[in-house]
Amino acid sequence: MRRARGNILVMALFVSVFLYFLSVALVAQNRQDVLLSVTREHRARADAAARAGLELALHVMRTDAAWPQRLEGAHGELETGGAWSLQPPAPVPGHPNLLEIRSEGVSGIARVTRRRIVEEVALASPDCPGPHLFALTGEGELAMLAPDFRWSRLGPAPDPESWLVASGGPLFSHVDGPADAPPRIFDLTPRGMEEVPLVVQPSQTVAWLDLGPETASWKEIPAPDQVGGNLFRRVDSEIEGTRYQGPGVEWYTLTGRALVAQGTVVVSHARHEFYRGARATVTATGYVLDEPGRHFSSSALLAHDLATGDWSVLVDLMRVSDLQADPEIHAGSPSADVDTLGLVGSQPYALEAGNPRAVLRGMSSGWTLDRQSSGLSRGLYAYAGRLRMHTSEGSSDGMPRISLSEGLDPGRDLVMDRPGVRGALWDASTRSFQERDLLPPKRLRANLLGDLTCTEAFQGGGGNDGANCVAIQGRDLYTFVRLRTEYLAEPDVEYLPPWTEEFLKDSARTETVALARFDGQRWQVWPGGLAEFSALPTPPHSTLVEVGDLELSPRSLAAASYPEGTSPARKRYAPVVDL
Amino acid sequence: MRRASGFSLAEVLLATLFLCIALFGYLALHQRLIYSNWKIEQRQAPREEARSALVQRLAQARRGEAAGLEPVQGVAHGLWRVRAFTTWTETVKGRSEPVEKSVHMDTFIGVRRPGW
Repeated sequence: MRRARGNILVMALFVSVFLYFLSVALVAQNRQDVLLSVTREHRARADAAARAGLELALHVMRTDAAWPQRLEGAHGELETGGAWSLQPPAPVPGHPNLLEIRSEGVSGIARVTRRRIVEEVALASPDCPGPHLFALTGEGELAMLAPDFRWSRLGPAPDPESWLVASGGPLFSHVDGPADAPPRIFDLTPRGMEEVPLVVQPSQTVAWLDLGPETASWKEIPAPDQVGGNLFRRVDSEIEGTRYQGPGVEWYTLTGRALVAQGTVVVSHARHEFYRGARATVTATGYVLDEPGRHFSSSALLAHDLATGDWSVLVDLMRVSDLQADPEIHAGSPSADVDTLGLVGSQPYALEAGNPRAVLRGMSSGWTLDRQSSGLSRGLYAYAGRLRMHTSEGSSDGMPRISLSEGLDPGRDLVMDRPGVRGALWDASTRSFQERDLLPPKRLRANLLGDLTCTEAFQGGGGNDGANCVAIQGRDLYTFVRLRTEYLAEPDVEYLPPWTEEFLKDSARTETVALARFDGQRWQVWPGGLAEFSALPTPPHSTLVEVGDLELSPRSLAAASYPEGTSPARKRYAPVVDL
Repeated sequence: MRRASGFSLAEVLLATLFLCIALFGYLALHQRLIYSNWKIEQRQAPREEARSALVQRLAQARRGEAAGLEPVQGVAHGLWRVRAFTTWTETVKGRSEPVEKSVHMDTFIGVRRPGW
């Protein structure tokens, strides 16, 4: 019986112990609820702190060239709670121009790590001096991108229809409007002694941009046909006994057709003009015209060095050894005018006008056919010590070219597949944040804009084939690229509107035009980096590039060097994606 | 023998005492937990709303629509502090008047120039 009596006590104790454990479990559960509630607030604060760290890091990188020192071990606290600490931005493996910023936010027991991939955008290669890039706006104004990555307007261009040329030196351009009239020549004609009417093409002048820290002004180079210039020669008419010999005048005029520069030397297409005077016999009653005066004209190539101030002849099809005798015309070489010039060292190359497949090599006695391109050439460029063609179709015969399919493909080195972005969205039904895919993965494709634009401009002709949309300084090559972005639909991902699968398939393609730099190994699109592209869609056939409030025409681009007027070079950092 | 088969009054009272202590303790605790959970739920929504408000303020700042941003001190111009907060009233035991509570949050945002 004692055992039976003890049972009720044991049962009561057992029930009490059960209730005790039940209470403990409830308290523990409640503690979890409290902790969860508090943790979510801490997590939100830690996330805000981590985000603040990222924003501060990017801001310091954009505003302070000494950011590596400033961001070393950087940390701070928000006013409303939450502390952040930064790890030094580190290169992303395989992408030397991408950096990863890592920021850790801490609040209470919550820790949140945010990462951001940013693209380091440089105006020039590390060992190259920063160039000044020049382009024309849609209104014909000159726009300049200084090494500090700031665009500025420099007023009207000397000739909006002409090229801007430069390579390691100042900027050159033709000047709008004809230069001085041809020299006046008085000679014996069938109508008597009078001024000889010369039929010559209007000559042009070349100017260079004198850029100082605060000033910019165009200075015209004295034309080669200017009387007194080193290429102007003249002998007056003379009478020896009964023989009359008319005047001989030799001069050169710039055509404004093609221009190329290397350092302080500018090379321009020109025409060599020569007037050989009339020959007559002097009689008691007057002159008896034996042979009228004659005007000779041929294609030439002139170079002017700002350092010496003189013009020199690089290519000349006509040699005048005696100003009173007929000149020697070199036969056997193409005599047609040229449209596009390229300089490899001091060796000039040209594309024959009307036959852009023919690459001519300049010699002192004229042009010789260097090679025949199977593709339609748009421009000639000297890059890395070799002549390159800018073609839009076909393949060239062994000549390196800048095109889509060869080694200089911009798409090769861009970040082609941009990862999708996940984030938290406020769900009103559950009154909580839900992690969702905010942006689907994106793929980028790029091609050289020059091909398309040059095709259009080439048909316009007018001495400007529009092929001058590649600028080179050192091993940096600059040009315009057209970027096409398209979104990738992942099969197992539910996309939020408007990123529906139909949208991704049909309309999620945008095209953007931007400037790009090739450093010999990889391309980099700038300014703005990749993240800006989705925000700057342009119509598929637009030929203007929006840069801030500027609209640039991709028709002409030049990289000039102004060491004295240089502002400190800067790098830019553009976010690619937040992870 | 009959006596031996039952429980004494003292045993029953003792057992009842044990059970009452345990049961009333549990009920008191349970009531406390219910109040605590209600309080947690009451505070949870404003906290989430504060976070949501901060996200919205960030989006407004990116679009250049946010007003009243304060520059962050100690860095070059262009980095701004974004604030958001929510308030709510809460009844507290022992007080007849509801008490006003608030959650404040802040973070930074750099406003970029066009193209950068």
